[in-house]
Amino acid sequence: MKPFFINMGLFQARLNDYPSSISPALNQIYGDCQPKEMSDFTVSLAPGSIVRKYLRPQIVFESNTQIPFKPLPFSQAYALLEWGLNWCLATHDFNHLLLHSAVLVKNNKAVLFPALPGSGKSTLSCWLAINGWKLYSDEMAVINTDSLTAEPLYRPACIKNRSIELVRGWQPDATITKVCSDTAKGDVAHAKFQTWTEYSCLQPVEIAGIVFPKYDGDLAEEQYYTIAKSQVFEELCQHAFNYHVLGYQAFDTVWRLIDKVKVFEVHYSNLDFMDEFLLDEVVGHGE
Amino acid sequence: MATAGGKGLYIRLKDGISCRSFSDMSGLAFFSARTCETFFVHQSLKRAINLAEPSNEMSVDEFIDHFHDGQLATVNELEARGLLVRV
Amino acid sequence: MANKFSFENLVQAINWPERLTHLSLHEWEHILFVLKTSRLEAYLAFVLRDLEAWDSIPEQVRAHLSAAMVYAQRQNDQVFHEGQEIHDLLVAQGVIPVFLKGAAYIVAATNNAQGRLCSDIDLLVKEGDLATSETTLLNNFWYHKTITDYDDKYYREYAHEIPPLYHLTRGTVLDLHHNLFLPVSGKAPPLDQFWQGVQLQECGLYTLEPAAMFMHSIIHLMLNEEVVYGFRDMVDLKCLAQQYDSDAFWQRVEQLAAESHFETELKVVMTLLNTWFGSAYPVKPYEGRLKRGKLQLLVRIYKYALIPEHPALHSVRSGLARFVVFVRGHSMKMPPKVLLKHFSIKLWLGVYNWLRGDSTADAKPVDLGAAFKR
Repeated sequence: MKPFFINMGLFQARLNDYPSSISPALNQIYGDCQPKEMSDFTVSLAPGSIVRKYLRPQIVFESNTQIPFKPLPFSQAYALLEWGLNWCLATHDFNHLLLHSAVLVKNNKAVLFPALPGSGKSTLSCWLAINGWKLYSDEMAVINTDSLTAEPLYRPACIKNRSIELVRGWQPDATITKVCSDTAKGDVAHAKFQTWTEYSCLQPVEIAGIVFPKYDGDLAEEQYYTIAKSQVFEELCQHAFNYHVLGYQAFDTVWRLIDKVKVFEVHYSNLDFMDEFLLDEVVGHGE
Repeated sequence: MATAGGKGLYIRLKDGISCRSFSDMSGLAFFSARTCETFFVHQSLKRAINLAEPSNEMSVDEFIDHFHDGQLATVNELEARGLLVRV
Repeated sequence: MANKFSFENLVQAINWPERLTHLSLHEWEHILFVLKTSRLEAYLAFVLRDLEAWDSIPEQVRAHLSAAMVYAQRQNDQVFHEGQEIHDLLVAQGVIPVFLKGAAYIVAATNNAQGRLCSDIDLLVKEGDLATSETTLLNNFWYHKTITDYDDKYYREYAHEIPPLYHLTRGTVLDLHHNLFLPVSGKAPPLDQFWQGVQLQECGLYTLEPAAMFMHSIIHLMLNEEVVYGFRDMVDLKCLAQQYDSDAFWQRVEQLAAESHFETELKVVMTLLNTWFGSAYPVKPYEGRLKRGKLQLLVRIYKYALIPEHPALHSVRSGLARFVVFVRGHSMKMPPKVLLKHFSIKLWLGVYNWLRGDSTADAKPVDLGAAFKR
């Protein structure tokens, strides 16, 4: 089987073995990327065992001979691949600070949206990506510890349950993979909002703000608050994948970042409000 | 600077500990290079505390006075966690 | 370098790291993969960093090497911190805690300490101090994980060891030993000579003397049923041999080997060091043909068994050699009757799990969200 090369920009994975059932998704999301000469990880998706190839089929993710996760049902193969790629980055990149957060960019400024359950972060990320923002990353902010800039990754957004229909509604021709049902998180699919050509033009960008979004459909009036920076610091430490490996460098980087940027908590029910708020208060309206 | 006084009236950071204030005076963060652990004091400050240099010492009263609602308990807690030493 | 990556390429990388700067990206991809799986990436990264040629290494490769160094340095720092805490706890109870293996190299700052990954801390205490040590640690945030009754019995009755200890908040693993090899095997070395040379290092922690560290590494390598990081262990031994190379050192090594009846194992390792790493350490040959034959056989077996278990390096020969080592390792640890019983129980459990397919060798039941946190 010919390997499939997944060039994520910062890193490239060489997918040596995978079930043909995920070929459509692979081509949808990574079919147009330009492979680099050298891959950084060698990964595979294979059945759990000879028995499990046929009886209640399972799929196992392996990277450089390590198997980080328990096997999943075969139907979740593509979702497992994306989670596996997250694991590869989180456990091998100690040259950047990695935060569990989305990164959206407009007017040459980046905003971080730390991943909190129930915040509607992924839905928000997709809507912004469809409405003039660049999605630098959906799950993982890759931060240069010297310049405090965010690096762009060529990865799809992971959307779940109701978000999938919402995104289809906003952009009927959006590139969305087949839905994996019955995962631990419900229905899961992956959506792509830029081509490789568009991605190739992206540069590392200065971070201007950190926003904690809280979606509430019943909200009568949008509200936003500033948050105590010491609280944000504590929150971000828990969101940093490689904090304990980087040690002092992580402590210093997170402090410099928080002290420099604006930090808000925004309660919203209307996505247009969020867009306006970010332009008014965080990234500016540009030239 | 520290002068002769009773032992325990002055405090400084323990070796290997870093301390940071925030521009909004919302509290302090400490980092231990030895254990790679991070600690927070979420109490609002009147002004930034300068404990950046290992030789920086200040009296306990002066330290407490940096906080709006300064308490000796804060000093005791930080000492118990191995972040400050009394000299 | 040929298109097909071979074990020779790995040995060359260790012996002549400066030649790595001539590799193509394609070749680098292969060697980085092998280095990662053999746990030698950080070791080589530190070696390369100290060479002037660091800047001519491609940026994409340097990123891997830098990341490996950051990770290894962090583990190093953690070993010092954990070691200090454990030392203070046990010394307060009148126990002398001696660090072994990876932790010992880091504590003693030997030549192979930089880049040495060390996932567990191995500690040696006197047999009479074992109970006190265990109790002290259990009272200070260390605990035993719930293991099967069979495994607990294996540790305490068969192996006369205690099961591993885990730190409650930090997750560090601590293996407490009172001997350098399993007593039930009948091969446990008399420890007086090893204890005699215990040294207090500059950082205030105890290790064995260099010759004893060397012999212990050999015993551990040659009498273990698993040699997953065997080649890395050989690199450890290469570095120790180079660092302490002197008549006094080798005399002490010979003495310890003779006292502990591990002379054959010493000869096997010395032969392999000379074969792989171009050294010329003297290896006293055996007199009798039978003994010479046995030695040659063991050298042949380990020459293949210690090749890292990596897809690019796999061969039927190395797989077979590893199986032989597996059986030999087990048979040296336990008397035959015990071995058979142990094997059959473990075999049944292994087959049962394999059929169910619910867990594979290394899979840990992790919450995917928390999976990334270390």
